[in-house]
Amino acid sequence: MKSWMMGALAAVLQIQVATAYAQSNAAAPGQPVAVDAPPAEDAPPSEMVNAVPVQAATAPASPPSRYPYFASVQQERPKVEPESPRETRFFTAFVVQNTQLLNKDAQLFSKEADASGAGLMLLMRVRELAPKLTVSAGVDWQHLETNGAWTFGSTGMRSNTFAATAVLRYEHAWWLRPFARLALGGRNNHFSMLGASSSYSDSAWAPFGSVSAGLGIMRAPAGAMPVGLSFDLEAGLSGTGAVSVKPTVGGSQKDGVIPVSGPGVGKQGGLEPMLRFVFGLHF
Amino acid sequence: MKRLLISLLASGALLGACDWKEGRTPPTPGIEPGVGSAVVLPSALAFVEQSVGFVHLVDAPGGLPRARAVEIGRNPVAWQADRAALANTATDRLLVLCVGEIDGPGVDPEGASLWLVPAAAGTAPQKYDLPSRWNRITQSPSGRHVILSFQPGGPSKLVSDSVFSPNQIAVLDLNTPGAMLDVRTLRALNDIPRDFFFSPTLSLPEGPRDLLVVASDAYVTLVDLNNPKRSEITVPLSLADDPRRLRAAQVLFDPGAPEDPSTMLPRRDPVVYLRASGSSDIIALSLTPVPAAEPMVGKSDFLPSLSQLAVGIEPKDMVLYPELEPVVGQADKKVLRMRLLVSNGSAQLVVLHLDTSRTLTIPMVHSADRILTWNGPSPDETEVRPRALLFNTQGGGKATFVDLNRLSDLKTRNLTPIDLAPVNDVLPLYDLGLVFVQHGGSRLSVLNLASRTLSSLNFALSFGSIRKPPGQNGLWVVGSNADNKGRFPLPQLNPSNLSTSEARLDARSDELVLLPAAPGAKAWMLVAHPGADGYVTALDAATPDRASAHSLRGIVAVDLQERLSRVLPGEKQ
Repeated sequence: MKSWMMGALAAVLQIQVATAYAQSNAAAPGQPVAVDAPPAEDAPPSEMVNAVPVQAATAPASPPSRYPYFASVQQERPKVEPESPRETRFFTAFVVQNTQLLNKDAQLFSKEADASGAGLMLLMRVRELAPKLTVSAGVDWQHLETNGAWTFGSTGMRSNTFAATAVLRYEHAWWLRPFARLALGGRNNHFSMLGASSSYSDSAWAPFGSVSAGLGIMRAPAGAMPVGLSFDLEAGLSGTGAVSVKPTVGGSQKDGVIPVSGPGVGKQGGLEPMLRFVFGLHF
Repeated sequence: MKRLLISLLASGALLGACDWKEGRTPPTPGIEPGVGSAVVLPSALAFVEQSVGFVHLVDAPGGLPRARAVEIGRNPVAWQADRAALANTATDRLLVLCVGEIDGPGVDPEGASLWLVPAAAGTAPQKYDLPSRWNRITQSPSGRHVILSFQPGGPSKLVSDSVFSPNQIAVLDLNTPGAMLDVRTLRALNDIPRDFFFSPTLSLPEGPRDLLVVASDAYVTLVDLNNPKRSEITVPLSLADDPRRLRAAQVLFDPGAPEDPSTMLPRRDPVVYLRASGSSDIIALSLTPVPAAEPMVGKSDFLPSLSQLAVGIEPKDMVLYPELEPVVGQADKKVLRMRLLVSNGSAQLVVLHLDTSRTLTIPMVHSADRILTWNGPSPDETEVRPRALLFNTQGGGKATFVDLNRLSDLKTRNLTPIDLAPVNDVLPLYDLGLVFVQHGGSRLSVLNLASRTLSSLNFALSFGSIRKPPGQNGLWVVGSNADNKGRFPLPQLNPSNLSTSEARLDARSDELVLLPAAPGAKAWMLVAHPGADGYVTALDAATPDRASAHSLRGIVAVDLQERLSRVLPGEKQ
């Protein structure tokens, strides 16, 4: 396994460790972590418990006691609910995507075996198919840049992917949500090559699609924060339609100049595995 | 969350550090990346990408330039169009000599090779593996024989073996399919092969054959190209006590003739005439039959017999021409006699009667160091006869037409001097009966050989040189500078009436070729522009103008993805 994958895994494990740490800090049963708010038995193992407001005023009136503790435990237990991530209606995320460039053709524009980029994703819950199973839909944008080399120096590829995306998410636990994602859209590629005396460039649109699945780990908001945080680890395949790259010299198509064709360097595109790290906000 | 971010950043840093091409090394030092000048083939333009070992062939079907890359060996050091191909597009191909690669960090060793790269698509190049890393190609005028040798300066600076034999050459007969290389190490008399001269087919004792004359300092070597097993003959050009190091600068061949029963004339042996720098004599090597009594195993059937023909002053140029003479006692029959016309840089013309060794000196009104000869009419004579033009390339303002027929009898009456500005270069087009004379950067004269008239063409811009594409009667002037609008004229000359037209392109023109067209189809021409990334423009050959033009730029990048492992040598995957 590659070292960066180990790092990513460590990052994911970090979530779990943090979660366990939060669980250990949660109130033990029977321990008065708050004067009037013992933890509910079915409360999630999270420090979020402390944020649950106590409805002491709803308890029936009782004679004054010298033992306030007993008086308080006689009060009706409030029903404690988590922050209810299931109620998330909107989801916005910053996405870091790593794509494995298995296609040899990609070597012309990338010195690396993989390429990383960043993007944004916006989702809205559109339907609850079943209890704990929801469908969200939205848009996804990804920006990717790579650099390579050839005879005269550097080459580069810059792509912007715009896709409509749908996510099917299952709430295994309130903090653990496996999901599957489908995206369809288009990718705009800009290719550049440094020539002997001029630069060559070409741009092309290509259809784009991806299928992926992953695990989402939720963190409830602290205090009265209205949004929830999440981290998704997602893996899948992304495919781009093949486009012929024919870079031409800049300015060669302007009026008065003899039309100039560029050389056909080959085709770019294909199916590639990808890994996505999604940092999301729920609200 | 903080630890999460730190972990992600660390993983990203590790990700960025992963490079699957750690073994990349730059191309061979000493070679400029990209392509050099275009090579004109009859049906394409060829560019050799020396740094990575590819030939890029460009044609223009339908007027759109199209390039394709052909892989050859590493480190090509010499290339040229197949001379046979220039007259026959069926064998249109490029010869490329590659010195290969020696073992090094990230580089696999590769032997030297000779590649015959056909211009036609769909035909695989032909490769000959070579035992030595030669770095020079010399091809016979007919295109049949190719000689591989070392440059006088030594082996290739790019790649060479630690030990090599500079006298080793290889002979390849391209007319014999599947022919093996004839590798020879020539006998040396303290020098190396410097120049190669190919004979026409000579009438030798055991039948007609071709000879190769290898010029070295102080000696020449005669190699029988048709008999690889026969040892070569080495002929010193001076005596042992002569301090001069004569080297053959020009070689002419009298092919000889077998015995003619009709004229009762005996057999005429072939003769090799050498003009040597530093000598005031012409050296004649008569190739006489070996006496039947001598053993022939591994030896030639002829022996050179050396004689010297004095011309007074060191000759600068010479031509061999035939003259018909009546046979003594048979007035109705004529016999062909060979004459040698020599120009020695002075105001004298020397005619050598080779059958009698008689020397005739004819005064001229100017000095001359260059001779052109052709067969054609003159203003006074419609009959096609051998004629010559003598002029001086070292200045002077005159040239002289010489009627070679009966020159010995008529002497100066056969000379016609004309005024001609100092000559920089000439382009004779004998089939058109014209000689184009370049005087300077912007002046050109056209000499009509039949009428002996001179027309001048003046150019507003300085130009490079004249090109006559194979298969085309029109002439083009390439290398013009840009006009005041930043465009580069490409003038065309019609040799029949000297009318001119021109196209103005976006870059300077280097070379051009008229592409063959199917009957009835539009013909296109390709113009090569300078630039390491490969730049051509296709033009309508009938009406070459900007409206029909289309360019292709970046030829070195064609099919680059498929060739990437060669373009980035040393890549370890």
